[in-house]
Amino acid sequence: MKQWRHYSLRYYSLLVLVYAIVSLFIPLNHDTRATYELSMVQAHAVSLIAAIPLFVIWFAAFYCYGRLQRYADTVRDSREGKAFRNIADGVTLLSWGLVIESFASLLLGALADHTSAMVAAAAIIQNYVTLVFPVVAFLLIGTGTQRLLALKRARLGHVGMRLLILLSASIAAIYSYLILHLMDHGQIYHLPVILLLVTVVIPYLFAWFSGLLAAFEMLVHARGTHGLLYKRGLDRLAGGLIVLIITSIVMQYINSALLSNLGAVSIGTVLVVDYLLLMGIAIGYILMISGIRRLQRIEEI
Amino acid sequence: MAISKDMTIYEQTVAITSSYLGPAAERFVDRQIQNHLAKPPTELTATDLIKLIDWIRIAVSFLTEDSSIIEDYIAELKQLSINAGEGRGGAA
Repeated sequence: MKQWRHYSLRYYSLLVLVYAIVSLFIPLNHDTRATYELSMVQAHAVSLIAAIPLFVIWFAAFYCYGRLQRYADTVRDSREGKAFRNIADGVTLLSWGLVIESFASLLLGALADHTSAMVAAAAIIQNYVTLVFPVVAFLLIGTGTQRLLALKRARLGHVGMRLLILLSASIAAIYSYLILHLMDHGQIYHLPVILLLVTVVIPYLFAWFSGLLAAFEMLVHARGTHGLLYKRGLDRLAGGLIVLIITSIVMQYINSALLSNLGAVSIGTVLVVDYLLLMGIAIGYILMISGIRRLQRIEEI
Repeated sequence: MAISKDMTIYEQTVAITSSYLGPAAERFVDRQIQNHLAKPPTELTATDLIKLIDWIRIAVSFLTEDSSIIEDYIAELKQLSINAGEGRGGAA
């Protein structure tokens, strides 16, 4: 029986249509148009063309979460059922987060361009919109991977755990330093230091640690699972999930800490970095799709 | 999954299948028995297994094109059916 989550591609089509329409009609920044000597029509066309790679990545994300939700439905009565449900819900949130973040950026950016009083509010809202999805998504995925490990009564090895802690501590220290000491965080985040720490830095670090832990647990689970044909699907699903989590973390890290510290970074460089990372995310989704299809076939034959 | 003499034919079939289908083995075997033999999976007999092997071969051929994997899996099931027929495979 089809449920709402199986309509992922219909939601995708609707979202692309709405985004395209909004892109075409939203007022664009006059100074930017003047810099590149573009008419209003040309500027809108460029904006829409620049969104095409984004649409391709959204397709991969929505197709993946639709297939994963379907697989989770198929195995819902099995021992792994709850675990795959958690993972599917987490991936669904990450996928929707990609889209909602883009919409927020488009709309809030236009609002800030035309109403200087809204610059701070737009930046704050954008930051929290970008933050909330990975926090909840990585928590859900982590709950799922923990359940998978618990089925086998497996645990993370001491060495691996210690390496993970070291990696997380390093990420946290560098990130905190970048946010608080190098850049003018007041101009970028428009928040006092204490609020920035409590509502941005700590949640991001929590999300990234949760995500890295989930990726590690998925790796351990995939390695410890037997079944020659089953493993072929599971390894791709696990590999794709790990790529997705790590690339998402890197993208959030770079966007929230590094880019704003690099001073005179051109818009072209920012776009290239972001699109490369989005391609990494798309590769994660494609790997997952390949794995889910194999696992689904086993359950349907 | 290790196979012991105390296991039923059904349990041994699942154990052999789990080498190939892992956690999905039990669901796969149950589905083949229910769909093609129309009986409760736990009532699988040696005679049933002989009929089931052909259906399993067809099903697994949809999962992989590697004939060596298919033949290895079928050979193990055939050996189980021979042992069960000779009374060495445990109770039905």
